Amino acid sequence: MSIDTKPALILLVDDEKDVMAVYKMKLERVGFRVITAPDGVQAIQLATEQHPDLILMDMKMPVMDGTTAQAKLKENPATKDIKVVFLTAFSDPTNPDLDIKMAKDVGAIDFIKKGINLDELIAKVRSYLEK
Amino acid sequence: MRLSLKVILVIAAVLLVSFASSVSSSLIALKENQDKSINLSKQEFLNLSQGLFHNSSNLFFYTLNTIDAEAPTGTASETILSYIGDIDPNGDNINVINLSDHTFLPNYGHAGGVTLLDPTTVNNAFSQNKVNLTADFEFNNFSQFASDTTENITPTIIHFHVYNNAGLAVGYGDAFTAEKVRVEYLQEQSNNLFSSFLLLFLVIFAGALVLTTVVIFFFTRYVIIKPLNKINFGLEQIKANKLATRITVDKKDEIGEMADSFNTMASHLESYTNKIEEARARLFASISNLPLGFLLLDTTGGILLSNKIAQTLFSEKDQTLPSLSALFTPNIDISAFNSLIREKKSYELQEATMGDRSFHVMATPVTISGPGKNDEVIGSVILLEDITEEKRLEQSKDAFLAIAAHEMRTPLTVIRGNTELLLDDPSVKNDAEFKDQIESVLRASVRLLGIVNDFLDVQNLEGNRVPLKIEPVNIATLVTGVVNDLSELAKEKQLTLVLDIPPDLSTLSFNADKFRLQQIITNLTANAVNYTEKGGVTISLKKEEKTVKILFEDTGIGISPDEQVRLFKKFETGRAFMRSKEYGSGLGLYISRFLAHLMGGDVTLEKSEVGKGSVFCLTLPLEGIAKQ
Repeated sequence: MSIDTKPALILLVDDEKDVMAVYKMKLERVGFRVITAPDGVQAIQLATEQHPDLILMDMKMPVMDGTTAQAKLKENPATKDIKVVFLTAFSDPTNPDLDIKMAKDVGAIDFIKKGINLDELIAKVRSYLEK
Repeated sequence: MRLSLKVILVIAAVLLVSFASSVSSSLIALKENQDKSINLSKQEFLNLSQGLFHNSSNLFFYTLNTIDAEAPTGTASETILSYIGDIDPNGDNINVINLSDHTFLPNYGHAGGVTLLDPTTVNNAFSQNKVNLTADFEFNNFSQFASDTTENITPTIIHFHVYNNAGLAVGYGDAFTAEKVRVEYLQEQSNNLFSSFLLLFLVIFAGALVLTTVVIFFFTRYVIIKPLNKINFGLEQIKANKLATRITVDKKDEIGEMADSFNTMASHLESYTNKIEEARARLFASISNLPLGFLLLDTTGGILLSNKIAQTLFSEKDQTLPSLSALFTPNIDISAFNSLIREKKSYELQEATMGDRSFHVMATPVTISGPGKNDEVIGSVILLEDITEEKRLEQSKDAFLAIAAHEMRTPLTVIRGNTELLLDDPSVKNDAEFKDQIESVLRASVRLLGIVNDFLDVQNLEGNRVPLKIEPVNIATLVTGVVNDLSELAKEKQLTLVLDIPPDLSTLSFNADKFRLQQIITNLTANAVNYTEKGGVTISLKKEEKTVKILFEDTGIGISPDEQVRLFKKFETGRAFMRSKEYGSGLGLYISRFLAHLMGGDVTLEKSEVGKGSVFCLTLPLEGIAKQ
C-alpha cells in the first residue's frame, strides 16, 4: 500500500460472483480499492464513471463479453488509456491460445490464468500498476 | 498313313490311271483300225482299182472274173473282186482254191500286155480307206511294164482259178501286188493312225490331267483344307474366348495329330484360365471384404484396382474415385509420393482429410521378383481406414474433458482463494486447530486443482496443442528457484534439500521452454520430497558431451521392479498411492516425460531400491531444441 497517494482503484469484471468475491477481498486486504461489475455493459459504465487504474476483466460473460467491452473502452477516449488485464479461464479449452491472441488483439496488456493463487495475483497487479 | 504319302499316292494313281487309260484307249483304237482294215466288205473291195504294180509283196489285188459257163474261154462276164486268202511270203503257197502255175495276162484286150491302172487311181482308192490285205506275194518279173510305171518296179502276177463246190471253174483272176501303195498307205495310215493315236493320247492325257487336277483339288480340299478349316475355326473360337471348343478330325495323319494337339492345348488353356479366374475371384473377394479401403496403384500413381469401400470412402454420393492428390494434399504431393514408393519406402498419414471425412492412410510399395525382374517396384498398395467417427469421438471426448476440467477450475479457484483469504485472517491464524483445518482444505483444493491442471495438460499435450516457447534458459537459476519454492515443504518433513551445481555449470544456458522446464523440475523435485520420509533429496547438475543431466536423488521409499514398469504411464502412482494419499494425480511423470521428449530430451529412472531410495534423471540436449 502506498502512503503518499490514494490507493489504486481496481475494477473487477467477472460473472462468477464467488470468484469475484475472493479477488475483491484479497485486493482490499492488501489495500486496493475495488469496484465490481458482472458484465461488459456495467463494466463500461463504471469505467467511464470512476476511471479505475486497472481493470481485471473476465473474457466470457453474458450480455457483453470481455473482448467486446475492451474494444468499446478503447473507442472511448475517456477510457482508452485504462490498463486492461484479462482473466482467462480458457474460454475454448480445446484452444488455449485463442484467448491470449484475442486479448492481445484488442489491446489488453496481459492476461492472468484464473487458477492463479492470490499472492501471485497481487504481485502481478502491483507490477501492472507500476508501469 | 502320312499326309505326304497320301498326296503322292493320289497323284501317282491319278497319273497312272490317266496314262493307262490313254494308252489303252489308243491301243484299242489302233487295234480297231487294224481290225477295220481286215473286215472289208465285198462291195468295198469291188470298188477298188485293179492292176497295181509294186515290188515287194505285202499286198495283192486280184481280179476275179466270172466265167460264163457257156463260154469257158470267153470273156469275163462279171468281175468280182473278192478276197480269198493270205499268201505266204515266198509266194509259193496261196490259200486260194486253185492256183494255176502258169500265167497269162488278163483279158483286157491286150495280148502280152497288162493294162495298168495309174497309181493315182489306186491311191485314190486307198485313200478312201477301202482295203488292206495282207499277203506276201512274189510276182514274176515283167520288165515290159516298167515303162508304164513311174518307178522301176517288177510286178508279179499270179493267175488263178476259182472253182465252186462242184469243182467247176467259176472264175479266174490275176493277182497283182500293190505293195508300195500299201506301204505308203500303211505309212499314211500309220501316220494317220499315229496322229490320231497321238491326238487321242493327248486328249485323253489332257483329260487325265484335268481329272488329276480335279481329284487333287477335291483331295486337298477334303483331306487337307477341310480339316485345316476345322482347326482354324477352333482357333477362332479360342480367340473369341470359347475355351470349351474341341475339334474332331478322325484322320490319323499329321492333320489329325494337329487336331489332337489343338484339343490338348484348348483343354489346358481352359483349365489354366479357370484356375486363374478362380484365383482372381478369390483375390477380389478378399479385397472386397477387407474392412479397409484398398487401392492398388501403378508407379505413376494411377489407380489400377480399388475395392468398394475405397470407392464409397471417397465419395458416398457418386462413388467416383477422385484423384489421389486430393487425398494427399496438403501433406505430400503425388510426385514426392511416387518417388518415395520408387525408393521402396512406405508412407503413412495418421490423418488425411477429404471433405468432411478423415482417414488413416498407409501406403507400401509393391515389388515383384521374377524372370528379368529382381525386386522391382511395380506400384503401391494403399489402405484407408476411416477414422472420421473415431476422430469425432475423440474430439468430442477431448472437448468434453477439457470443458469438464475447465469447469472444475472455477469452483476450485473459489475454494482455494477463500481458504487463502481465511488463512490470512488473524482470527484464523490465532486459532491453531481452525488453522490446521483450513490448511487441510487448502492442501486438498491445491491438490485437486493440480490434478485438474495436470489432466488438462495431458489433454493438450496429446492433442498436440502445447506450443513451446523457446528462449535461452539458465539452468542453474531455474533449478535454484524450484528448490527454493519447495524448501519449506522439505523443512516441514525434516528432510534435507541439497542443490549440487558445479561451478562451471552455473552459467550454463541453453534453449528451452522455461515454463515447461520448470514444470518438469518441480515435478521431479516434489516427487522426491513427497516420497521420502527421512533423509533428504539431492539435486545435481552434470554436463556430458552433448547433453545436460539433472539428477534427482532421494532416500525415499524406493520403487519396486513391478512399479517401475508402470512408472511413466498415466494414472499409476504405485505403492505410494496407497501410502501417501495426499500426493499425486498419477500424471506427473507422464507429463514430465512427454514435455522432456518435446524438448528433445528424456526423463528416466536411473536406479531405485525399495527402502533405500531412487534416482531420477532429466536429460536435455545441449544444443537446445529448434524453434517450432
